[in-house]
Amino acid sequence: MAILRWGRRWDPFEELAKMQRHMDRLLGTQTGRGLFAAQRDFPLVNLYETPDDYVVTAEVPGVKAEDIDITVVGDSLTIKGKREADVDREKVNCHRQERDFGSFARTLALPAAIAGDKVDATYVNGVLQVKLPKAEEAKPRVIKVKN
Amino acid sequence: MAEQQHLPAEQAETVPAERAEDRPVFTPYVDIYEDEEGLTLIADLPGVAPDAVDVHVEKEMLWIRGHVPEQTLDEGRVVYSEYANGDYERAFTISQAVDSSKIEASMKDGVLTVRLPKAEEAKERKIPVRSG
Repeated sequence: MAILRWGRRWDPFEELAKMQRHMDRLLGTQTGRGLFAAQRDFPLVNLYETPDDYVVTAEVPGVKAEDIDITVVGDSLTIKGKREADVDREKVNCHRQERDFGSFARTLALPAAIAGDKVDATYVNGVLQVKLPKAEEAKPRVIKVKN
Repeated sequence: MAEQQHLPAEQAETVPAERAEDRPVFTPYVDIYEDEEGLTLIADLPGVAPDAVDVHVEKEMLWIRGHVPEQTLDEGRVVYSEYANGDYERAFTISQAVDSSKIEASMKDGVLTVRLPKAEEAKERKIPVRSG
């Protein structure tokens, strides 16, 4: 699994993959399967920044909270887990199968160091939200200009 | 795989109703299984609360709609984004073989499960073959 680096150099292939993901979601198509199967990342993540924290949200529908494993080392966050199948697919007729199952893991490199002992995660309606307080040395300091 | 006639076939030209807000509407990923008693439809609707999902049958169409509240983060700015916030919508044609009065839906951890029992007359019947 590739490590994502925020604010890295512009990567046209990543841009194409991103556009493909957005088109898939809008049109309900499945180009993420088949030829470009590896590009369908799970879970999809967003990263937000506030003055004191980074907040990562991830779409992990159908995963139980206790099956999600979050680890923070330095400035990297790893989200691991397993999505169990809803039914025994051997016993039923599958007419449509667009959802994926199995283990997943994503590692994200955050823009700055994290206070690993203060990380807080919540899981609501299939969306994971991880609040990662910045390490003291990474917090912005306001410098007053003296006359 | 040949689609049988009583399957919930996806409606190609869904016409979204007029919306008050201008936000994206996504097509959720869906699994559909069939067993002897009926069909089960499972849809990924991450971010949708159990009371924000709408499942209804209208003119032999099964509609699934889910509303995702706007992400609010005090003083937050987006650094990187792989998914956008929006609503979900998808519609399927259901046939006479489904007893639409007995459709049940449940929602847990952002996954919607809709159970569509087959009508009595659509269930498979084993016909014993007599000899003689």
